[in-house]
Amino acid sequence: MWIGNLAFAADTLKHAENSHAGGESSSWMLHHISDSRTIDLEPFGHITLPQFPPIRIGGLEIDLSITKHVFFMWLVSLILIIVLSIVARSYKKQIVPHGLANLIEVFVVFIRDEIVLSVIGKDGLKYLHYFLTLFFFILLCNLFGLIPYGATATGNLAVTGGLAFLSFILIQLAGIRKHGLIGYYKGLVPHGVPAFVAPLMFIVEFLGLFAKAFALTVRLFANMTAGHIVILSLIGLIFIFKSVLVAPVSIAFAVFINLLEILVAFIQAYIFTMLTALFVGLSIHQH
Amino acid sequence: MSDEEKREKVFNSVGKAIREIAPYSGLGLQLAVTVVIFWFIGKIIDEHYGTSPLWMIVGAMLGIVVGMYNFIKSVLELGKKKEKPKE
Repeated sequence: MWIGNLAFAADTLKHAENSHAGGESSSWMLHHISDSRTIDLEPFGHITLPQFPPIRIGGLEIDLSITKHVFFMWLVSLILIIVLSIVARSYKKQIVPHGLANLIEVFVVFIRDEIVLSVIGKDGLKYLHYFLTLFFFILLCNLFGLIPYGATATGNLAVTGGLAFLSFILIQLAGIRKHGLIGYYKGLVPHGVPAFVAPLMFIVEFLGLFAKAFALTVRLFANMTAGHIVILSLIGLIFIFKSVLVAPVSIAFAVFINLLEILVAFIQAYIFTMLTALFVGLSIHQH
Repeated sequence: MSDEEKREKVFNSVGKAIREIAPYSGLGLQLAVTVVIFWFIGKIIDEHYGTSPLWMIVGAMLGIVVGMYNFIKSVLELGKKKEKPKE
């Protein structure tokens, strides 16, 4: 963490010097938060990622080049596949978990009992694997932003939008599977509603389905980005005041926010999983 | 030993509090986001057809209704969940 802060500070210095020549600028902050085509390894230069020509589908131009966030998503997926398959294999030897398996089991049992069973009920166990994947993927993506040279893939609207889209599909499919295609959309209107309000309620409910997915997208993105901006701003204060005396205070605060970010990484992964489970529960238990 | 137990108790209760609060903290943003998207959709319609500010107002109103409705519904569902394990 200290090294991470040092890397930030070193970078800030360089960018502050640049911006000093060309007036005030906060572009160095965006440089750390936004997606880019290079992976920065600051004192040692940077790695340029491969870039492909954009693909044309219909009237859309889609750029499928590998970017920083894509790289970190793949890294996270790879780590999860390796670590979780090692853990799964360890249960074949003995039922009692040891070491790493013990740590993972805490999370798995927590998601099963506290999220899926308590919010959705027994019906939710069919979808348990989705919630587990979602939780571990988001958690590790969030945590990767806190280590030096890492980037938060979940601090990208496209990534969180993709995750929310998968959750949206699950919410619809879970409802359709339980009540049937027509039954599900009919069931959106609560029972005992007067006939003249029913169409209005249907519209409200139907739009609400999209609003929920959109809120999931923005919530995760905003929370992950906000923390990074706060840390960078605190360090940036040193260069705005142009005084070393500010450094101890702003570094102390930055370390505090960094620690808080670890908590936020867990909480946001939990909230995303929890709210997805809640919405799946709402579409399964229609009233 | 008792000191350590006490600390563990505090730690557990803080964890429990966070677990209880977290879903509700997420719902607050959901209400805000819902209003903003509907307002924004209204704004886009207005810009396209030049009917400002009619659809912007309709969108914002609809957003408030949809947001409030979903918010209350989600909170009621969360409250229900809390009672379930006690049964």
